[in-house]
Amino acid sequence: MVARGAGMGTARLVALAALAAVVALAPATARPADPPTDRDVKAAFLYRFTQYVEWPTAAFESPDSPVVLGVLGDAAYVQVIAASAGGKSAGGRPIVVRQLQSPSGAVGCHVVFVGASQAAAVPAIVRAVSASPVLTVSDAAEFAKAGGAVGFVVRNGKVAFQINVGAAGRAGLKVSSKLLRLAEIVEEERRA
Amino acid sequence: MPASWWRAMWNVGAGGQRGGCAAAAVVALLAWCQAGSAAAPSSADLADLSLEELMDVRVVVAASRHAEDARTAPSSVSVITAEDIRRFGYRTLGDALASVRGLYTAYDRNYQYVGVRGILRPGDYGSRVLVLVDGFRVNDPVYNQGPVGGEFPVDTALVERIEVVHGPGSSLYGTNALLAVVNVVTKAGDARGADVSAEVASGGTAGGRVTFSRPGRTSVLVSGSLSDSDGRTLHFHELDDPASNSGYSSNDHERSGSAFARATHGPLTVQAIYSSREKGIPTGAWGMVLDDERNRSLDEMAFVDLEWQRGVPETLSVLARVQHGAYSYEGDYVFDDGEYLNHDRTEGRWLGGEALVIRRFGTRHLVSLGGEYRDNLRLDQLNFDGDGTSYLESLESSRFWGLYLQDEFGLSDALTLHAGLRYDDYDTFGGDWSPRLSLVWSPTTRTVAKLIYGGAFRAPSPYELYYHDGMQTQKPNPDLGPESVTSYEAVVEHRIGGTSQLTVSVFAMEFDGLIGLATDPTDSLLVYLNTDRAQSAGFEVELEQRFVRGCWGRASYSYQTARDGATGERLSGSPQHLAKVHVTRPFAHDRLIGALEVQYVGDRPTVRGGTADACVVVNADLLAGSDDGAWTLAASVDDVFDRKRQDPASEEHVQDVIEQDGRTLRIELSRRF
Repeated sequence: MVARGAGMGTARLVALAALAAVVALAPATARPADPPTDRDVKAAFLYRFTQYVEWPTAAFESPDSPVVLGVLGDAAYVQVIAASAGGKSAGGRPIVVRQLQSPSGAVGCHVVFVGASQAAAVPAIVRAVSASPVLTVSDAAEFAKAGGAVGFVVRNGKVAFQINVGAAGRAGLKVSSKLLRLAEIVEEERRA
Repeated sequence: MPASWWRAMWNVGAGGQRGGCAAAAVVALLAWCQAGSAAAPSSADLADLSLEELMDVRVVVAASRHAEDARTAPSSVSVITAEDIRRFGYRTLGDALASVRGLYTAYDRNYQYVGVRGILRPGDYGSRVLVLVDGFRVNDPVYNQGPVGGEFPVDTALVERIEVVHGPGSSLYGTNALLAVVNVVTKAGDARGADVSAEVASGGTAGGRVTFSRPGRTSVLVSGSLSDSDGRTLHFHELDDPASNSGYSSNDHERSGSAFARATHGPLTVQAIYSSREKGIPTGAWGMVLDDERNRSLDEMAFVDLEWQRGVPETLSVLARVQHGAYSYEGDYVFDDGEYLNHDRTEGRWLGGEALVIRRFGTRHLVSLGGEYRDNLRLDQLNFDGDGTSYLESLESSRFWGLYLQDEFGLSDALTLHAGLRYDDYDTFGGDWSPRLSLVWSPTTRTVAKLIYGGAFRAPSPYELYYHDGMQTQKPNPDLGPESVTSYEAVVEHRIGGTSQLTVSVFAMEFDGLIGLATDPTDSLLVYLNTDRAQSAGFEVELEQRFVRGCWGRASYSYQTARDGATGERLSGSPQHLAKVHVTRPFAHDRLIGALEVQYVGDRPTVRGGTADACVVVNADLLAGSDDGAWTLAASVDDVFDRKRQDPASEEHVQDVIEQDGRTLRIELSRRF
């Protein structure tokens, strides 16, 4: 027979859960400087990239048409990117961030970002925008080698990026030499 | 001797006053997590940094949960993603599982149960499927019910993915993994912010959820959900009598609430879950007064789980966890024109722990060695009348431990042998061995073929061992043994181009010593016995295809025959045919996404010798998101053509079949901050 006092009452359990939550949440207010996540930094990079890439004039309907940054990823990722790049401008054009529901939405964007969670959509994205003036960026593994233009990698706790010069060239984009200097240049892997 | 190792672990973590010390340990660990967090550069002004400066910012990457992946044994596995749940608007785990090939559900308007490969024994409380949340067992300790309905303790909005491992899984997971293992992986909370949602639906349903998440060195996710539903007014022609409200019942209400909290710091994760769900019993089961709102089931669950995980599965990884949980059930039943009330009161408490080491030896062997210990401190079952007359006072406790070893042996580049064996030891019936052997052959990168042999068991639940009604109609059987299954399966998965995948599976399963209610001829009392045998065999075919313009589709068909081992008759509740079609398609320049689900369940024999007719149910969903991702609107119509599928009822019902919800409209609005 079990000693009834040995078990933990539901009330105590709930109290413990609440206490755990409070203790865990406390740093949110106590510590002002959270370390940025890889997503925060990648979002900042995305905005920077628009400053170092030149699109052909034909990519825009009119001189004041916006630069459309489409994001295929979870809503939270879209929000981080919208907070970073939304409302800013690139080459005198306003940047508009838009959430994409599927790869087909990539057509008509100037930059398309594919979140790693949507890695399965990478081949479809690469196909959808091939020969269109779209800068494709992703943090999916081996993105630049799979035919994307810019792929993020995390090395030693820092975010770096790879550029597939061929893919960017085919898209008719002019990538500044400064961006190329900081990037790891990769080539497409021939698919078996 | 693993028992002594575990005992040593308890002494460190929980000592004499187990509950209190465990609580103190958790709080201390959290406090330690905080102390370990060093100051870091602010993320506020990242957009002002130059390329070079950005490249120098040190970041934290959201924690991944490799251990579960590594544990996923070589089996036939289906995955339901968060995206599927969002697009198809699945509200319960059971609804999501019903989309998987070969799986189907039955709802008796008290609980929802899931059937696999033609096996859903009415009255088994879903105890033949093991349900895990982030790798830990959530089947309750008394009925061993795998919760898949409103009583499942986690809101589906918090689910990252659901892994369904088809077939027996006892060689890794022990008891209850007879038909399938369902592992629900919760979201990592890798984005900062809050998420608020509200919904309304037919049947007087309203609900809401608030979720906060904060990634970082110590990442945190906290969420709470509430839901309230009046339910339907139902009509049962079997009870169409002036004495029973002409067969009408509107006691179909459901009220549920859940809270979820998790904090992760480096290798440590602490998770706390609480859920409560009350359901009116509208069916007059067990002869209750039909339309009395005092008839109800209330299930509560609470868990605190502490997990420590280190290393990479490819070389050496270690996982250890300790858990404390509580479960309670309250059943109130009204009989005899409301004059007479009967109550079930059930309490369970447990402490458990497990450890798993995965290590690579040379280039050919990946070995997993794991152990599990569970101390069910309290398993109380009480039954008494409103006037205090007591029929049952069963105060039990139990213990079991399990030890398992699995080797993934690379025979050649294309051929891998997975061999696993688990031993479980119970203080009730003794020991049980669960083997698994599987050969995985991948001749090209496009094709994988698997041959799988496995054995699994289910330990008798405390309910089956000890429940009785004062020996009036039912008596206990503490001598029950485990039931077992032996399973053979062949699976081929083949990718066609970059856009299609075809899966074909053929299986045969043999069940022995199935626990079922029988009448003892010596005293005419009902008693649970290990007498039933059954076989199930069949095949499943599934084709998944990506189309142009973001369209996606998946279709599956399953054929299965599940028969009683003694009579050769088809098992009650078992459909021979299942077919499902799922399609999604973007609209309006991708601003909307539509989803369509068609489910066919073939006819199912009922307990009383009748038939639940075959039925096609169509569900449609539309999802709209604002461009900045802040707003999401989901609208759905379930059972578009109002077919009101009939599910077979278990023995405690007068009804042969129980009617399901018909057409249901639902709207949910979510906002991220």
